[in-house]
Amino acid sequence: MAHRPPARRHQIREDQALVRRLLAGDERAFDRLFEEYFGGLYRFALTRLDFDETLAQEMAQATLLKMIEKLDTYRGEAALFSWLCSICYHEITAHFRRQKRMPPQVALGEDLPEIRAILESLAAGDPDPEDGLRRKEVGRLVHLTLDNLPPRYGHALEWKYFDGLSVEEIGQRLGISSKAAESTMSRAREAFRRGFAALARELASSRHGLHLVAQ
Amino acid sequence: MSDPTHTDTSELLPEEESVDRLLEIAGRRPVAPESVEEAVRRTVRPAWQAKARAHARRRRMQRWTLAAAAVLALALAFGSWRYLGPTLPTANPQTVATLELAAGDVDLSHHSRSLPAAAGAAVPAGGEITTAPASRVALRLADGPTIRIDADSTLRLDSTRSLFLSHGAVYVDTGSEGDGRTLEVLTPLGAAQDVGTQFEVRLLEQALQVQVREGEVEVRRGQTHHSAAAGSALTLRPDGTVDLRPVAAHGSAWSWILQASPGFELEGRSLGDFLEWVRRETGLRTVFADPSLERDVSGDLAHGSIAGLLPRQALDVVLPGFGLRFEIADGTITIERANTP
Repeated sequence: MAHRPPARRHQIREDQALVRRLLAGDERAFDRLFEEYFGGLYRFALTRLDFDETLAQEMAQATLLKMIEKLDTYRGEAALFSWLCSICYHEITAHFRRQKRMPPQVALGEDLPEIRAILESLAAGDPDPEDGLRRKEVGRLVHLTLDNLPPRYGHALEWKYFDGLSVEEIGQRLGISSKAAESTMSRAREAFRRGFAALARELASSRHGLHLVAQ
Repeated sequence: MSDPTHTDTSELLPEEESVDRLLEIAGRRPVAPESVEEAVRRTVRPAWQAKARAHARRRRMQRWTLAAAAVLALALAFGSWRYLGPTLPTANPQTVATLELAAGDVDLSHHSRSLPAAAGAAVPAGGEITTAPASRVALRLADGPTIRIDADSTLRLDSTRSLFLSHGAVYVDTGSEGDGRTLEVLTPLGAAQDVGTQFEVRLLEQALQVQVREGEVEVRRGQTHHSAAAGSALTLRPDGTVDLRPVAAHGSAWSWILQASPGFELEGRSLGDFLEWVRRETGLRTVFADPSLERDVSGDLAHGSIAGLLPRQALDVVLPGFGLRFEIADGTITIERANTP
């Protein structure tokens, strides 16, 4: 098994605990499954189905039903969200196979020089990219990165940057002290930087843009 | 364009300062429409519940098989069979509690013998209640306080004032007019003791959590004591670290308790008693927009039944019969005359 960084090992332990509680019929675990993973799963499907909302709902639902069916086989080899996205990918592929159609070819930011150029211009303090297409590609990559972080990292970053919450308020939402919240923010930013870079490389090297980064 | 499979990731690593700008460019992640999430939840929930029940049945079968094998081994070793009678033998027949509600698979054990339990069953001192997944219980202790046991939990009732929680969660309501005596919930990770409160004790993976709706609870572990007041949740870990966070007296933190509610016998009870029941069940404050209205109607008697209704649904049914209407906002139910402009 490849070495996993501590944060990833911790996330997988949390995922294993969530699965145990789901198998025990814990209602709060069921709520937590939806709170932490449904949004990302829906976005994963939506992006790969050319933003067909009805089909994305159908695929997200089929994925969760398949996951429930196989729940007692989850062993923590990958993060729960990665497992969900793998199942979703197979559901999408099977759906189009039944329809005897090809899945939509979706560009997910495979143009590396563009991404490099944007990062360089941001580092140089240049104004944000005016090109709408580049903004859209970068936006998709950022959202994908956030979805692949441990859920509390993604939430913490959004609370800070979009809701303007203080570190203390973020700590209260996460049920931790202010000091711990500060540390979480620092780890979340670092995880975001590394996740963004890894995702950009992985998407660029995948053939159809449908694969998920296995973490 | 260079071969992406040989791209150095460091070239794609955003600068520290660029993280803010990247997030700003991207904006918040789009949220799945509420109606979509709700529709998927409704479809997935029954499948999940069925999976949990099947998992629990397999585990019980495994435990039963192991226990049966042990009994068989003992019987073979001593050359005799033991007869299990239809009732629980009690060395101490004192009843410490009565089941008011048993929803799902509930077992009552005493002196190593276990039987399914239903509403009306008497629990002797030392009796142990075990709930299966998606099963819940409500009990009334012999001296008044009420207890609710969450799904997949095990609680032993040593007396009317001492409970032992070995797994899961229990909710205690000692009533608004408690007699001042304390009730203690012991667990492998610490103990919680109250004076006149509503509180929940929950065993997490590696911690003890106590959340308090009303009153105050003292949490002990060894020589260490901590206090949790109303509106707070205290988490105590094996290494002694403690987290204290606010928790509202109403809302999702307490929702399982409503599912274990034994209900309220409305017929012949006063409106004031009904509203007190709603208050204690939901954690919401109840106020009358006009204090004189409260004096006028609180003693009026209600008729009919609200069996099977949650408190919020019961309000919809009961208050119009008194010419009243209500609004819920900011943790408060405000009641006024229905014809108020």
